[in-house]
Amino acid sequence: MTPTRSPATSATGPQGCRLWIDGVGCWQLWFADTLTLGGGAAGQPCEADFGIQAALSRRHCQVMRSGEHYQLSTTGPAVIDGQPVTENVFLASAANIRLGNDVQLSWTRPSILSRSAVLRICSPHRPISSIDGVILLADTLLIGSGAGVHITCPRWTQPLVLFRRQDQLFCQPQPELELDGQRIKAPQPLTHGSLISIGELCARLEVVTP
Amino acid sequence: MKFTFPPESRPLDGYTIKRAIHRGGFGEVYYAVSDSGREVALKLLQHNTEVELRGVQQCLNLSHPNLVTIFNVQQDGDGDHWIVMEFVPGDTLDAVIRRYPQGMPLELIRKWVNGVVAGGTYLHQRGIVHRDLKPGNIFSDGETIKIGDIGLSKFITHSRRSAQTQSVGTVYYMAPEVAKGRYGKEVDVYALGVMIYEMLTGSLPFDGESTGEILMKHLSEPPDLTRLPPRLQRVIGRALEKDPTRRFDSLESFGTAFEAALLGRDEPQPVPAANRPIEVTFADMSTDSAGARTSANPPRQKPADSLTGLLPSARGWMFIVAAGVLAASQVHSGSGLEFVIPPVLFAAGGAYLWLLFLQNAPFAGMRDLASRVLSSRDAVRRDSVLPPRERAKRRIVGQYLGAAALTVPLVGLLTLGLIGIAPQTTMERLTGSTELDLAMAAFVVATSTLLSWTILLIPALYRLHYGEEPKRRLPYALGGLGLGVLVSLLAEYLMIHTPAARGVFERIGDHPLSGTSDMPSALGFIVFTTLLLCLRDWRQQTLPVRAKRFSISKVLGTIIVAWLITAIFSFPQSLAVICAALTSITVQLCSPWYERRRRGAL
Repeated sequence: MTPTRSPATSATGPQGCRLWIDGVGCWQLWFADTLTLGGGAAGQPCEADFGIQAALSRRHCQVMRSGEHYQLSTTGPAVIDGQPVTENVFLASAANIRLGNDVQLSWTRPSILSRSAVLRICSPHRPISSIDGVILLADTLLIGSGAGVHITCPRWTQPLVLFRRQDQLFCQPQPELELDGQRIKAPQPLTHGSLISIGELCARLEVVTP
Repeated sequence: MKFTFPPESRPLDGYTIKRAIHRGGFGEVYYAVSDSGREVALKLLQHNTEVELRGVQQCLNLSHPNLVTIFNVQQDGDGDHWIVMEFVPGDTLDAVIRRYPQGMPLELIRKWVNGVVAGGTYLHQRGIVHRDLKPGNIFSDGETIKIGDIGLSKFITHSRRSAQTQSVGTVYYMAPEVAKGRYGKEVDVYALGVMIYEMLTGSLPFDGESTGEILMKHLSEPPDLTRLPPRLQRVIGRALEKDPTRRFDSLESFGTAFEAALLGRDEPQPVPAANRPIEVTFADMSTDSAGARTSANPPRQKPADSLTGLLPSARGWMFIVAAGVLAASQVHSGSGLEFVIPPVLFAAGGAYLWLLFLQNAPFAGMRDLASRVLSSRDAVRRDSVLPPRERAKRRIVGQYLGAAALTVPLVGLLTLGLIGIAPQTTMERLTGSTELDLAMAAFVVATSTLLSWTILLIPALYRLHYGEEPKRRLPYALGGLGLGVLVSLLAEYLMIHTPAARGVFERIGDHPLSGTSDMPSALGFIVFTTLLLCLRDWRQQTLPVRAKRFSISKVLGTIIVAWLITAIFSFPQSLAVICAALTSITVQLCSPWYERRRRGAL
């Protein structure tokens, strides 16, 4: 996945986008219903959507969204909450996933108001691309300092709500929120390079194409 | 204030900023990617550039797995300096500590400590002191611990103790001698001691509402080692010694001792009270012109609460003498104010005895009782969620609540003493009869206690909700209003009798201020308590940062205000003056107070 400059009017694309957040990190916002996880090396082509620098199969497992639920299917060794997995298994709202010998992932659906889920690496392994985790974006993305958010930003004074309509990402207005330096009064679509600011901190959207 | 450079900026040739990481004391730090794809942290020097540049130059060619590598120092087109550093993607120790509010697992602590000791020892062996070791500067890169921000490091001069006019570093982890501008490698030992304490307990050994308060605690307050596992108390206690010469002389020896204590290779005992770190005052820490410790001024043990602040100032003494002369003249003229003398004299003696009792008796911690209860209740969440200022606020609120609990025995003792010294005079003034009236005594105790509670609880509630003391007197007036109603009901219940009162106003509108048996009416009580709480500036008697803990002039001022109220609005003079005096004494003695001498020195 490489970031590309998209026309300002284009949608964010089915592969989703990256959100660079000041003081927090970079998150992959994944739009497709299926996310493949696998091993790889930095600088090398990676077959998986979420490549991890670890001794894993190139397509080690898949997370699939089906309506309200998520399932994990695996081709390589996987353990969920201490139970070895050999076939499709439904993922609860929170789970610890181990792939291979030592890759630890945390899986959470922090808000009952959103079907979106968060997948991040807990072990010392690093993703191939410079991201801190993947958000499987089903409908809304909640960012803020409180509980029940997908991305925790301790220093943000207000929550940020992004929501998905088809393959387009929108930003919900907030009192202190500025989109590209302008206050917004209604939901606005986000495009490549959109800069969302709340107070002194900002987040930048970067469209990713396969 | 927004960060200077937005994402995708290229202020430095060859690097694209992707996001801001944080803003520190020396400048902004960004996450950037080089044109060849290398992740780096870029630090823009905005303040103290000379200090940091000097430090960075010393560290440019250092290479150790437990140190964040500095790649280069470059200037941008505007002449600003940038430090190009290794980007460490893992958690900071700060984040890990927040994850374990009750304390981190020992094995995890061991991993972090070993990394810091290895990296810090490498620096010390090259004559460099980090000076700003803190959880926010320690990173985990997978299994490797890395010390960052070594740009703040300071080269150890030949004298090892060079004076530094500028204080750098973070106050929570700052060794006491830093206040004197001394930066030996013992400051890093001390900082690591604080960090281990925080890792073990989830909270800081020295916390406070202000920088001055925290520094004061570093200088004078012994850490509470009882919260640590017994086998680690001695080691951490030694690392947190106020006197740098009594600490471990290197990070390596500290790390070895910590490891041994952790694994039970020796048998250290819990630190007995007598061996707790000795408090050192500023005077104790005085150094000679060469920077060496003055041997004639050794550390000495001091009580937890100093008597400083009890003795009136020269102006206070003048005020007392003037008040005494005035009172004597009133006695001579028989104006009716002579009854002021016994309570004032008793107040002065009682106040000193009470403070001596508080400082030396096992009840010394009673005032902090509520604070401790609040602390333990919040232990799970407070350090992970609440910022230090919030924690300090809660502690002060707890101290106010503890003070309210203390008022009951104190008011009881003072009243008992007053009646014991001059039973007939006191009772005659209060009831018009020389016979002992227990109902009146109980009423005086209850009224003074309720007045004290109101005066102590108003700032506590304000602190809790607004984070500061009330700035206006309206809350006190409202408190007095409600209190008046309560006290009038109590007076009616106890059926107290008072002598007839004469004031300029004996009624307000159609409502008399006196009721049956010459007892004040409900309106009389309401007027008195409201005016007493409103007209007197009670904040000056309860603020933790007031000039002195106890001021007899403030008691006299309160008595005069009460007397003036009764002179204008009919209310039993003796009752008013005695309750006002008891309240003033009680709130001053019970409310939290931080010694001014140390505040001033900071």
